[in-house]
Amino acid sequence: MARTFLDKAIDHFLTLYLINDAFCRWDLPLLPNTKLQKLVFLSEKAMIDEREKGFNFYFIKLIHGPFSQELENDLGKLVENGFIDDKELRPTSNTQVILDDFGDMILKNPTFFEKVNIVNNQFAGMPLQKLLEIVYAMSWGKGRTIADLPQRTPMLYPMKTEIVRTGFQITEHETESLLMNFDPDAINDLSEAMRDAREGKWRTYEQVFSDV
Amino acid sequence: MRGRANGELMSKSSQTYNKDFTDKFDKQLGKLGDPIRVKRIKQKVDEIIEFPYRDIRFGAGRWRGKREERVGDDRLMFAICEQCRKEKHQPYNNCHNCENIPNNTIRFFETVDSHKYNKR
Repeated sequence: MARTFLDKAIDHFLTLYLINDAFCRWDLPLLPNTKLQKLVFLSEKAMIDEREKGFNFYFIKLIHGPFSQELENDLGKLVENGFIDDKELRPTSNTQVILDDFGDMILKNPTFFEKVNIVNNQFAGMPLQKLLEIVYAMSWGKGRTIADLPQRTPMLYPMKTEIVRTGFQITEHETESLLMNFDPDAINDLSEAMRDAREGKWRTYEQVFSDV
Repeated sequence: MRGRANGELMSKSSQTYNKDFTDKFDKQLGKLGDPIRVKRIKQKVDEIIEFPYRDIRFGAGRWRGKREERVGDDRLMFAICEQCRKEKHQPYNNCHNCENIPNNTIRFFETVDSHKYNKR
């Protein structure tokens, strides 16, 4: 089941929240990509265990344990759109603005953000190697650990709606507004409009609507 | 999301407003290639100019500091200069020569086609 636009909006927002919280909570110098993958995995698993539809990333077992290519792709977009720093994955002021302006979503959906907080509190400050050891040792299936799983074993995927106990509360307007903020084309258009405003390139009502 | 109605300003509707549009706004309308859609946008612009303080909703994130109104799938992003100053949104809108623009001016920045975002 492919992620919907709604899934993607929620994934982007929760990812930004997780990254920001990890840096705030632990004063990290950087957040390695591998560690971020595990933190999102643990958060998504905690949600799915309680049939809460928050994160919607596909995870498979790879050489360093659970890995999501979709999360990797989303991170690239978040870097490209200026929400996180390329090297350290440190959140920028754009992330603060998003978390502030969409703060109602955090208040409306406490269970999802509490799970992220708990995971970050427990694991984000930990050395990567130790975190990997803990994840590898987690039980997965009958008498097996994650370390035992064959490469490319599917691990997590978006929950089907019929089994969801708690959905993420978000309006259509919030969804669209979030997706606009994560859309490079929309941001580029906005930048051009703002450049016109900054440079005083204005047109009159008559010029704009002369043909209507 | 941030930004809802400001009660003090809600009732104003009798004032005459100047209006201007960025080059980008003009180009975006030109690219639509849909006279009916452009006409609906014009009607919405006329409504905003007549009653700028009804249905107040501010943009969020990168669009912070801009008002928005919908017409179909198009979102019109604009600012009323007096409201922009009152709400201290100038740093977000950053208009050239701001201090010389009268309060009773409405500046239309752009349209955003949200059609591609509303497939849930």
